[in-house]
Amino acid sequence: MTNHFFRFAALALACGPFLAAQPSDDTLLKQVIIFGRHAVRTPASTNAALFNFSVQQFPNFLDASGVPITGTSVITPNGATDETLLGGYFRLWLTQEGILTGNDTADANFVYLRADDLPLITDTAQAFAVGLLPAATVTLNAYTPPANDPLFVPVAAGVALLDYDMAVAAVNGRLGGNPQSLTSAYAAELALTRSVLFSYSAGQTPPPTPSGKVDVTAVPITIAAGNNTLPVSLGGLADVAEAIDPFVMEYTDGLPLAEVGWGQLTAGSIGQIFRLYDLLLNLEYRTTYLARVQSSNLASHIVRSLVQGAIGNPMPGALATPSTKVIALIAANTNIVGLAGLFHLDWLMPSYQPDVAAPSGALVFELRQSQSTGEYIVRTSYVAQTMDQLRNQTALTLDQPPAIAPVFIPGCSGANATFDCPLGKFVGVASQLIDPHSADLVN
Amino acid sequence: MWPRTSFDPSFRQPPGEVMTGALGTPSTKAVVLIASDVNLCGLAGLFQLDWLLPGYQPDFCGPGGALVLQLRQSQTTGEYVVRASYIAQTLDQLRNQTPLTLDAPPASAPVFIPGCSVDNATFDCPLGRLVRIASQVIDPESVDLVN
Repeated sequence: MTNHFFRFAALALACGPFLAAQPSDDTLLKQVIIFGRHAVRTPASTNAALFNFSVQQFPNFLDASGVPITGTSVITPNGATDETLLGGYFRLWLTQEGILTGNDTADANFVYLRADDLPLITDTAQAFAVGLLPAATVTLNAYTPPANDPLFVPVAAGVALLDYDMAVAAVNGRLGGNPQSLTSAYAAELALTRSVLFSYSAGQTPPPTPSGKVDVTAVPITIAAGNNTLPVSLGGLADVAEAIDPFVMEYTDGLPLAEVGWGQLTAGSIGQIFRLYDLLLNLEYRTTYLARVQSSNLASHIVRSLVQGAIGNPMPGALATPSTKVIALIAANTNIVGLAGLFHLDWLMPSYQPDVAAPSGALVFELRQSQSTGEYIVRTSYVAQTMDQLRNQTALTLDQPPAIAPVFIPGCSGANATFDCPLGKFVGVASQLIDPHSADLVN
Repeated sequence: MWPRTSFDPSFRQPPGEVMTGALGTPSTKAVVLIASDVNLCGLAGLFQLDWLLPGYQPDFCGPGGALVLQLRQSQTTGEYVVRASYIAQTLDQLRNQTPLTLDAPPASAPVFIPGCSVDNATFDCPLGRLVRIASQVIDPESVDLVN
């Protein structure tokens, strides 16, 4: 004990001068890329379909007039409000950083807004812009369905080629070729899921499956080739994800607690159940082969845009123009998880499980320039409202910000508090990770 | 102190000479390394290896468990492949000291090596490709060439 204490004391003394010698931040923000997930939405499946998995009807999400929304995967009014609140936070921060001036119409010329083409996502982008530049109309860049945006769905868009046999092997080879073993590794989460869906106490002996219902937790977890949006079919794990998908939205949309998992779930237990949903995303999008195929084009465009911002000349495969100061990209959690997987980025936010891409949350890449050396660095963070900030539609200010996690970029970040990564080194890391056959040079 | 020469990322071996930084001799058939779970987790992390065995959490290193790398040669093409697996007794096999045979083996998970494995059932990884992957992920500043 004493020995340890002296070791600790010696360490503290040794670190003292180092900490004091940390240089103050002399960098200036030149450009920011905000890569966000869509806002709080209605469930991805109809209540009629979900009722196959539960003994109680799933609750309705309401529109602004209090009428149940019948559409699946559409933004809710509260979700739009939350998204605008987050846009408003970025407005405050970027104004403080000198990127925005308060003249919204003029600033709009330096903002590039791009969204995947689903209504949920374009509506989210518009709600974000209302918060970011309330007095301006920001042009929204989006493909028109059925065309696919090569940034966000590169396989369907024909930019990246997915070998489905390799996808199956890459996932199987993370699970010992025995995906069903996940049911014992995640037994507690599956038991909790079943108890909520079939409305019994988690502590009691599980009753038999009610007649006419599907027990998603008993459907075998298997691995087979999927399709160009869900590359691997995971059997029961996908069914579980479909059945639990509404819970986080019920909580964050602000439904009465009695309607959040029928009164059986809290923010904490939603997080625990969602370890199953996070597992599905991890296997589908973070698996090294799948991250390379599905996220290289997005990564390439992000890196090239940062380089373009630094050199001040148009760059092939970059977004917007060299003078663009804010690039806002809105897509899905699958895209954020995939990009993070490609670069091996991790984060942890209060109220969430590790690496969760929360509704509205964004991965933020700042291009900054040192005012003493001229060097360009990339500073990365993950920014998202906590589950309670979303639920309560909490106003966000610089003093009351959303949750923010500085993110270390492996192979690049330095040891300072914001994990700054020199731009040249970032390009080096990116060129090792990005699959050139899965990226295009379209601007 | 050490006969340290610079790390060669190509892992080339001059003809007729012993490979620097290798263990055993060229005629050694089994290299057995025993250490702790921290070493296994670290090596798996370097190569981004994942596994799952019945009864354990993902990537868990059970007591006694081992990461196994087989060097195999195709009898038709002469090609060398590396076949990786993670092998460990289940918690109950450990608890019950269950005799292990080829018919009642410990739990075994074939392991996919990202960037290298092919899509066969054992996720074979051509040796040349593993060398290329290794030279990308190994930090030459953190390696010596002592045999």
